[in-house]
Amino acid sequence: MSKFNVSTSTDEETLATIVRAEGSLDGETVPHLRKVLVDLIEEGHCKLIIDMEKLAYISSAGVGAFIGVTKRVREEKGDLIFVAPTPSVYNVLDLLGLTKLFKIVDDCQKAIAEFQK
Amino acid sequence: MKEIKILSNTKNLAKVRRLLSQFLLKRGVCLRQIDEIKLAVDEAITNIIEHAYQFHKGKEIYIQLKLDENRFYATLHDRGRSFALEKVPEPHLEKYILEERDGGLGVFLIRNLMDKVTYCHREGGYNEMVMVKQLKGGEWR
Repeated sequence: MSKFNVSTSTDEETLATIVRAEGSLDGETVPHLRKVLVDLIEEGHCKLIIDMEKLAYISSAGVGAFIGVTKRVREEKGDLIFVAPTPSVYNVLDLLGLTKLFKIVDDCQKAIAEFQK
Repeated sequence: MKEIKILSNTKNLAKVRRLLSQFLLKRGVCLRQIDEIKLAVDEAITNIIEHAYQFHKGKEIYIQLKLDENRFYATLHDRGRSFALEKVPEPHLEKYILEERDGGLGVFLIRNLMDKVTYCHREGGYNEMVMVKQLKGGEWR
């Protein structure tokens, strides 16, 4: 079984929500992430900071979960910003073209600052 | 050569990635290429579970791993629905975002991570995907 954990916290000032993904994001674990993202959006959290620092692995199933909610968050003036992907995760994002369509920053504070602009 | 049989359950993806790592590490393949191969094989198995077997659990998937000189071969067999590999389109990410589409990226990754990919429906009633990667010591392609 794949190990995967996700936790969330919201910055009170910007209302940006940090989604910390840890472990392996694949076809087994993606339903968990997808539910977390959909629940957040339905609660009105559309500024999503995806902290990938501890995400060791991602397959296209994991990437798809982010693609699938992007339209909804952008319609609500929000977005997804990816933070600190490991080199192997970055390579997958890059190969699939996400590095051209999404902001990727080094740490969560920079992502929060992006939402303050 | 190593042969692995798993059942069509996404819980087995991590196990296959672990066995692949062990197989390739023992044979001195660099970590970056191991990452690429693991992802390609994961994508192919996920496609079998999702599309060939339509998420029915307990169906057999056969995986054969082989290293021949500087080439790695992964051969996958399943007895589910077949598809036309050549008809799978290149993904259009901006369009996928607008369509709120969360799939359709796996074959693109497989094609990009491996050097050769073939797929066919065999006479014995099974589908066969063969993925080949040229190994180049310690470097990205």
